[in-house]
Amino acid sequence: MGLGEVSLESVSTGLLKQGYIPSPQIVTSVYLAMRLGRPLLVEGDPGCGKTELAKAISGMLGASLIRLQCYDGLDVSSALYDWNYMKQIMEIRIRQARSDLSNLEEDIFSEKFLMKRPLLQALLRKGDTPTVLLIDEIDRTDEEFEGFLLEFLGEFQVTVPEVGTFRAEKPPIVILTSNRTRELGDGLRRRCLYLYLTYPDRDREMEIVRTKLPRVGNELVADVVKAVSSLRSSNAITKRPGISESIAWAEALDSLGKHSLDYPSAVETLSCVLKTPEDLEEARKIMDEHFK
Amino acid sequence: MTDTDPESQRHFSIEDIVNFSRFLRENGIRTSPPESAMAAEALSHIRSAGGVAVFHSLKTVLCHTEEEWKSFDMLFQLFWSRGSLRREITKDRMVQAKGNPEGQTATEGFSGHSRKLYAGSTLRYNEKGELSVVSLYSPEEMFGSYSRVDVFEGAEARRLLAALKRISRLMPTSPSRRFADSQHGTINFRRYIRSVASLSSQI
Repeated sequence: MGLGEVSLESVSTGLLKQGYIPSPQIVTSVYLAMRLGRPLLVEGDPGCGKTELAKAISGMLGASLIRLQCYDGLDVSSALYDWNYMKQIMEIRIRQARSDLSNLEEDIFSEKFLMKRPLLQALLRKGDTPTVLLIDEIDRTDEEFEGFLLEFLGEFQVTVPEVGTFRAEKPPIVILTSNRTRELGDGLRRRCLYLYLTYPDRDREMEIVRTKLPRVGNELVADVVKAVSSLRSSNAITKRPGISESIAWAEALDSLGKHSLDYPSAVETLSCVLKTPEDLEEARKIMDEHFK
Repeated sequence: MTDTDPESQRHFSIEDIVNFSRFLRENGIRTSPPESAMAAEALSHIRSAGGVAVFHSLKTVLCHTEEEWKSFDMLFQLFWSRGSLRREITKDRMVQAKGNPEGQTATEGFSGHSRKLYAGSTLRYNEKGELSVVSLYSPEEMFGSYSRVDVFEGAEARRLLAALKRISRLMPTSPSRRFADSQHGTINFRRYIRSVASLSSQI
């Protein structure tokens, strides 16, 4: 699908084909992000499908997905570009051996020695198919990097002092995700369209699990989704299970030959859903109530 | 609001969007004039879709945080489905500005004349003594970042022009007085109207 052909209907069916069951709000936000050429900031609880959305968009468009996974301490040299020092040293040695040092400095700081990191790759991508740039968990970076990103997203161009300015021929479709571990600045927010994702309602989650695991019976899927919903609604659980945990749990139970969820098998397989001893302990109590 | 609602089939004019943005601002969602312009552009892309798509579009364009996202639904309902109530609420929140010969009113808390002008909330009495809303943002402020004015076609372009002219007529003071002190610099309001007019005739 080319960007010129997109419509609300085509986005909806396109995402469905990728196994992503979108709500009407998701369809509209994605459609407008593509139409208006604006980055889409997606916030929500961990595991509610933010990153999957970016993957589904790239699959739908047949676009290459470039992912920048953010972390504390991420800097420009890891996100944008760096110089290939080893290659530069080798070039210097070779040129010294040949006694050819003319224009050496200019040569070793040319594009040939530039290591393009995700942001620069997304800018320089050529061809008819668009590029989807996923800036994942932007809230993990510091404010300094956020400031840099502000400029990048505003202009879709970057300047490498030694080489010059790179500008995107076709701006990438940018999806930023955040789990709100840190409040993002107003400037970044205002440059983006906004989409807040919550966990899907029970019917939609059942549809998602069925799409991912078509061979698993309806009864088991319904039981798992209901049990996960009970776990999520408890404030005692610190890391609430996401959609992928529902899928993993249903798959595990199916591989154990279960057709529905009962108390013993639920307790035995809770580790598919929750990952800390404290949460597992709380979950057992919740399951006690759930199966009463 | 659903696709089958008559409300969903209504035309969303620039004035509607501007007023809705103001209403959001008054109620804690920090929208800006360029975002109103973007909302207008967004709606031009979904014009054939139903009212639900309008709701989703405005939400994704005008909200920026989880809190805004969560309060948007109620504000949207309040504004679009109970327009008369909205007007009453707006009226209630106004206080008479002291020493204003033209009978203008200002939002509570904004008593200075120039601040009032940019607070986005001034009302004006017409010759019949009826209260009407006066636009406090010049079209330049509203559409300054709106580079693709040509998305308005035919009847829509005429409506845009009529809206701008209406706003112009309602201005009780001269353009220079109204906009010279704006943080956006001096804006020649009438020249802008002329440029929009000539642009629309080229569509």
